[in-house]
Amino acid sequence: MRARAPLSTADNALDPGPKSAAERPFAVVVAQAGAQILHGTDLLAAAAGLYPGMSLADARARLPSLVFAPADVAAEAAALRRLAAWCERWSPRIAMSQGPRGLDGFVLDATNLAHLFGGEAGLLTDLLARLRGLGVEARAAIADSAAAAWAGARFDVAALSPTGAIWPAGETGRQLAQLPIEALDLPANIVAELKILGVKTVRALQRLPRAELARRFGPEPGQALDAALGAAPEGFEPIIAPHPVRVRLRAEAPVISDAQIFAALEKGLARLQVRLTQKDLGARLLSLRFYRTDGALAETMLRLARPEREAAIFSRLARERLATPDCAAALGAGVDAGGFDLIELLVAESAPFDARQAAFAAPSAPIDPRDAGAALAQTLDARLGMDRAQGVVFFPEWLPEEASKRAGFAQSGPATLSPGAPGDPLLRPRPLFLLAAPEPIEAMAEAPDGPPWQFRWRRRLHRVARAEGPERLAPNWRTETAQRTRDYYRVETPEGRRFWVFRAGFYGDSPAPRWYLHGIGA
Amino acid sequence: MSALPGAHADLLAAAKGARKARARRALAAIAADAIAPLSAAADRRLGFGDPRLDEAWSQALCAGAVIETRPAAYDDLAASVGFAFALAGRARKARGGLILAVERQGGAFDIGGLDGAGLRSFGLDPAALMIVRARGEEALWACAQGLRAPGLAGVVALGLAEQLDLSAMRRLQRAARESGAILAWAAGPRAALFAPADARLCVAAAPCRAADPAALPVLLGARPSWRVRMTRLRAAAPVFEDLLVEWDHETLCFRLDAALADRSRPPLDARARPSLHRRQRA
Repeated sequence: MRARAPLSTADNALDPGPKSAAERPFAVVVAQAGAQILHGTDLLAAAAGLYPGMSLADARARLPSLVFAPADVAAEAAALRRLAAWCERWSPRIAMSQGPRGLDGFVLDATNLAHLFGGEAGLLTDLLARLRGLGVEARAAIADSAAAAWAGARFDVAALSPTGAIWPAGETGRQLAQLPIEALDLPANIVAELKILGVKTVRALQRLPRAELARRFGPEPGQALDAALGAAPEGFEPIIAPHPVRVRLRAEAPVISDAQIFAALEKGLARLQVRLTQKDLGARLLSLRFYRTDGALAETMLRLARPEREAAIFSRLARERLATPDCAAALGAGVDAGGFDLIELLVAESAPFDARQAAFAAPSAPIDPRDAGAALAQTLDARLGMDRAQGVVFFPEWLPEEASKRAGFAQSGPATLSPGAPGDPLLRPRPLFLLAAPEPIEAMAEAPDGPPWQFRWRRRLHRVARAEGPERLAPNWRTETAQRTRDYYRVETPEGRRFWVFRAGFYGDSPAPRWYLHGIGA
Repeated sequence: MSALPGAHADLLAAAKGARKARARRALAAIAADAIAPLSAAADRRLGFGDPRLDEAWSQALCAGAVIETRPAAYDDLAASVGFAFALAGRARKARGGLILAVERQGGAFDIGGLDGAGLRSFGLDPAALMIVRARGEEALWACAQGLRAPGLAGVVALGLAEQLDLSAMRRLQRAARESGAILAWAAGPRAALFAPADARLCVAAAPCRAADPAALPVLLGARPSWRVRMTRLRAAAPVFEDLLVEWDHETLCFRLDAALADRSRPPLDARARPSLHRRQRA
């Protein structure tokens, strides 16, 4: 595997303190065990020999002109993740990488990709130049394994140059040997012990017999060496799941008008249709990504009610979506910031394409309401947001508030209720409106365990002309011990207004039973 | 006119001609913009299950109609919304397809949310119903999308837009006419009038049919009864008469029963009018 690890050091965008003169070295510091430790340095400070982990006192002794500010570790990590996601333009496989002081870089898997950018040197130069354009000073290295690239980016002096460090294939061992022992991803205590024994470089470690090493320090040093040399498999957790289908449109010059954006989109969607057809897939979730030239990423997702692959459908939905205020604002901001240089259409979720749907397009075919619904749900979701067109889903629960819920129309599915199931209106009529939570009422009943003959709800008095019930709904005794048994009554006022009230608890219980109103009937 | 110098008279005539042409264009535009009248042809009838009701309602309550239902009083809100859903259930039975319910974001009314099980009484099982919540413009847009979608029987709009603009209403009406889907506009007790509605119905709850309490159980709620009065009928004089109708959830039909007439309550319009007038003045 050829991998490279750009290590972002001091990101200007995050610097909270003033960087008085651009020419002065700069570092961010964290407090650790009572001491101020360098958390990150810019290239100037790094060139002067300062490195993360050094104490601030040492650093200032060596470089009195050093400017420093406290580090915001969480914000830096978040910014780094955003930056890593943006780097998807070079490789789809990206993993965050840990340094001794937390997240401090990321690894791109560049296997078989470098030729797209004019070779490894071209790729690295392009990457560094674009990052510099964003105001990010980064160190980068490309090597045979992720661990070697990690070491190269952090400890090879060449990584500081604008072209980055490139370790030619097969030379990892030789390059690694020159680096200090910290270049291997080892626990701090092992590094410290090794150094006490005089093992200060990787070369010195390589010379030690493996068996001795393992007996003295455990398996870690051997494993770290193997990982760096590519002799052992490495764990790689991509931050972005692999996508089966994607289309990328690189613009020669930044795209700066809506017309250009839509033209590019149409082109990409047509290509997407071809790809989906080749794989016999339909898209269920489509991500439209607009990479801004200034490094930001505008993204929006289109949820499809069923797997689709027609460019015309995608195009209609995309236009609908991009016209919404949020998307229009994001696109406008992108245009103001210099435009977009890459548009990516990415199928985030796919499913086998159902050939039956193709027939739906034929005007003579009878329309299945469910299909018509799916098409409508898609249109509504595209403008209003994901899963906003909803359907009702029933659950085999007796408590009315649990018995039916709303879900995205695609998930709601056809009716699955069998006659006599809780929601069957022929068996147990339910009110048209159900209050989100039952509201307490003051009720007066003729008999303690009978229906009320009048009640007050929301300060209005209702007389009961007739009542039916009770319908006794008991809570699930295994899970809901706090709930009381409910006796529901359907009651009607002399005017014909229908309510659904219940008494929680039994007469003679302590605490006394209470009356609630739960629904209003048509 | 004759006193004017020749050139001046020509100018005036030309100006008049231009004005006439402009007026003619405007008239043509209005004619083109006009919405087709409702057709109560046999294939566009919803059929209510009772010949007397068919006679009373078919003129306005047919495919492609915009029907506004409005509660006679605040406490009749659920009844009025239920009646709108019953109309939708009827449309679905007559024409097949889906019903779209568009609710105001954050809950249409203050009497809770629509219950999936309760809606089944109106023939709207989960396969037949889509519910969308949206606010303002977006809600009206969702209604229009629903009316234009193929395979939709109708749209029920719940508590939408306190202030309505006329062109949006006409767009909705045109969409309904073109597709044949009905738009049941269930307004709140104090909402603005849906100006171009083909029919406006004032709905109140009515006591259940079984007059004899010994005849229980009658499944209260499964067979809702309403007292309905048409207060507006487009292009015809409305039948100013309270109709007592009952919904049969098994056959998805309305039943009309004159014997149900309940004389103990004041007529509907007496209670409905003040609130409408108040709104118009405001």
